[in-house]
Amino acid sequence: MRKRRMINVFIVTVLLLITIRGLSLAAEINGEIADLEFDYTYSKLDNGLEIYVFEDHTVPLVNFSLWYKVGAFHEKEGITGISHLLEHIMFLGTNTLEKDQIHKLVKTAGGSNNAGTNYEYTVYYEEDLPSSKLELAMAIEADRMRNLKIDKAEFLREKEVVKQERRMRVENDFFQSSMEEIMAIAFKKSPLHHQIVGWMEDIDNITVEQLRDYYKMYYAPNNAIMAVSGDVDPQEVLLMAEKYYGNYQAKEIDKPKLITEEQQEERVIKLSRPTRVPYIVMLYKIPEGNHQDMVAINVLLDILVNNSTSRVTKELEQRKQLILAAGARASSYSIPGFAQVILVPTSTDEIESVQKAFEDELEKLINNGVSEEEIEIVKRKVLKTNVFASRDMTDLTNLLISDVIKFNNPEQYNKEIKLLNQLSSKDIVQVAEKYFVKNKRTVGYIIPDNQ
Amino acid sequence: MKSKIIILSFCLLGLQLIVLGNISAQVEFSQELFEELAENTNEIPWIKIPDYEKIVLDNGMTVYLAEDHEMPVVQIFGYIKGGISQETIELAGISQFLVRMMNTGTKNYSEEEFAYYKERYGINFSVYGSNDYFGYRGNALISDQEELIKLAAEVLQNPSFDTPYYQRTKYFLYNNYQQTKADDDYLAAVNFYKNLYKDHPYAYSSDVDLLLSTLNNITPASLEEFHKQNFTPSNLILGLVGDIDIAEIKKMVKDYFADWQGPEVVLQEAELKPTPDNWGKIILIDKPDATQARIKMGYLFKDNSFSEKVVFDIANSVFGGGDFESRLMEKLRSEMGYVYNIGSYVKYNKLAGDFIIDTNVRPQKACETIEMVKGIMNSIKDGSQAIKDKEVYKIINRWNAHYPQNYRYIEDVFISIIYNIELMNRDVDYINKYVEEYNKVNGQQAQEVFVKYTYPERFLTVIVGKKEDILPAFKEKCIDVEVVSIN
Repeated sequence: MRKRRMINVFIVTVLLLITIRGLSLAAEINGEIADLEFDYTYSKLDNGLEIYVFEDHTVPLVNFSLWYKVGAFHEKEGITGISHLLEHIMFLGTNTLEKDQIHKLVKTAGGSNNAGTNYEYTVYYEEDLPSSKLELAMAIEADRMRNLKIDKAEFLREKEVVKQERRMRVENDFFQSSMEEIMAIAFKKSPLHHQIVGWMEDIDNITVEQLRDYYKMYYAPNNAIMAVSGDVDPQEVLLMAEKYYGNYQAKEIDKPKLITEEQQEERVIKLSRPTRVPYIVMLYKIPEGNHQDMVAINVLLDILVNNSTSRVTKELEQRKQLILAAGARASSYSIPGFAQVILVPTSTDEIESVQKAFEDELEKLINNGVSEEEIEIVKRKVLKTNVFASRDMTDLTNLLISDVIKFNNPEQYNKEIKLLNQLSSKDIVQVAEKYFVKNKRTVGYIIPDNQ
Repeated sequence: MKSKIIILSFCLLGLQLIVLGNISAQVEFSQELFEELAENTNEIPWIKIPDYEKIVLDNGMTVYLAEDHEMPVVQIFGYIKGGISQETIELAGISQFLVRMMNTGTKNYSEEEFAYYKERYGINFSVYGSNDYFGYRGNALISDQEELIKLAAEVLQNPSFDTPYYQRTKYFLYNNYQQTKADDDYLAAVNFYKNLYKDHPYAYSSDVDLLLSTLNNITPASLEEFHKQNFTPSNLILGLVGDIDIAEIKKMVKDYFADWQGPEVVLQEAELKPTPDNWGKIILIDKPDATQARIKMGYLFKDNSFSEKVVFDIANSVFGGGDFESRLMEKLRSEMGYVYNIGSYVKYNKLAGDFIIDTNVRPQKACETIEMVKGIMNSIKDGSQAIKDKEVYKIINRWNAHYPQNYRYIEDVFISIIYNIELMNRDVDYINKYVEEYNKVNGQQAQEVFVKYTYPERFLTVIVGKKEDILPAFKEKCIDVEVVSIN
């Protein structure tokens, strides 16, 4: 049933106001978005391994994931990309398991598996396993938490795979390669200076010894969170976790202090790229994801840019016909991040007009505020998104664990919902004035290389 | 907040430890342990077909309705037979133009009013185009079910083409088509499909130069005419599923759709001929800034009615469709370290489909990679690396576990039923028959079907990359490559 896509290359991925989150079906109470009822069981082993269990008995399946609190943010200069490279190496065998055997075992049991590296964590998961096969996932992750085999020849071969991944995802994509440069200019002294995949030169230079040290340092029970969702009994999960991880010793984890910087003046970078249309990328410095201003920032971006009824859509795209597309999103990290606004002018000649028109809309919003109706539209979108997401236990699990890792707060979402319910035009104007200013901005112009 | 932070009773835990033995003793990891833990035969799944009602309105429109009270939402979806296959060469690209216009405004709602209506009621609704049909999908909270149906009726019946956004849409599409020339994935796809399907409408949406040349032929009048010819009640299928009351929603559907009248549709079926002149051809799209080689290789394949589809799907999973465990991935990623990802895919259309292999490699390895892909295919075909029962069993076992995931929700089953009945001429219970069929497949059958329907000599190969880095390896082996510059 695969559909042949019609061509549309301007689609700018825009994150929803707030990440999709689960919700009880009493989504609205007295006209307000209701709190989530996260229903989970929490426990912690003596060695520090945290365990979250989400019961869902609708189908006889289980999802297992093990999250290590280490990612691209924790990489020192010269070894960027090591978290992601290690993620790859984690599939190449242990003292017991052969290379790629993990995939075969999980598939034999009827599940699927993979992993992902983020700025703040690295997660390994076994999904859609028959619930009777939970122990297989437990055993696999316990084995590779401790007993990874790092063979030099395999390490070098896998490096080539990672380098090819970098070519594919970053270097060969004019937009992603531009973003890499723009981010590096915007975040000179922050861990956001580099992409998760790392710089090519660093990938080339990482040694087997560095990788072994990194693995030994961070892959420990007290630096991990286990999440189990599906047709399981929390007590049985805990007993199984004790059996496989209970003997592991906690380690002294020495994470680098994440530094950030204050930006005092606007930074600008012009990039010539093989694109037929120009792009304007603006990065405004914003606080960490659990800051109380973040909800207002996200609503502002929807009202100003993302909605079909947004100011930028109506004025710049429909009325003035200056742009082909626009999108915006706000990062949500444990450290200060960025609000990204992307505008696609109809031609290179219009870049200045587009930028001015955008700034005019921002100024109008600051001077005149936003209407109740504009806020209601955003709230309705969130409400509906939550209703649809309420049945997806995987999304719910991922949301909660990432909030725990980033903000040490499983209740982060409900905090945001409360703020959203109380949000006023004044709050939105305040964040616009505070963060959306030129001296906290980096602008990247991506210009067609034939112009 | 029902969250329970369990502070385990140590007494209880201690008791359990005594009962269960020394469970915190270190586990001895061994091959035997893992094999034993993984050992599993999944049950053959059976998907429950939900109750539904089918009605045909007096104007010929077919409507399917099903109740699903799990969430306070309603979902609408449906199909209009024909799609891109109904385009003529003079108006190539009109489908894409049409759906973009339909998703922007209508006769009774200006662009701004249309956007406001959708966001005010939290409605998602959009029309899309495909080779053999147009489709539409939308949803809303159940409290806004009537607004959703009203909007769907408005979009499907009353699109507006002579509008202020007509010129803007044309300009958007012009830039959009131009921009595809900056994107490796699109460059590979457009050059592959336009060479594969040649002058058939299936090629039109990929032939960017053709699309650019016909853009000025597409006028509000031609859009209106194309819409009338295709979007007519007797050619339209509508499905509604969710927290609905069938009697109540049936009345709404009649209120908004029953008066719609339109002509009978006669669908054209342009002949699709094989193109032997493409067999074995390698086209290199020279992209001087590329840092990798983007490879797409494949050939024309069977249509929707392919009787050995199920067995071929299994065989292809062994070859390249089965992610990490496929033969292609094992060789080119796990053994050689050349690729991050490689996969083989089959797409079926009403008149013919395509079998393709997709990957990216560093430029110097493009030639070797293509040769290896063919080598792996040939090693299955000549029996030296024949498909084994064990491989097939693993795939079937995995599918048995995963299959129910695709039909976890009533709407998934319901949408599939309608798609199978109305577009594929299959039984209402096709999804269960498919399970039955794949569970009967063995290694020998998969091997036979793979041998029968794979043609390494027919590969049309498109590479996007920097010619200076890619060509030498081909020249060394005296392999002809047609180099094309991006205009």
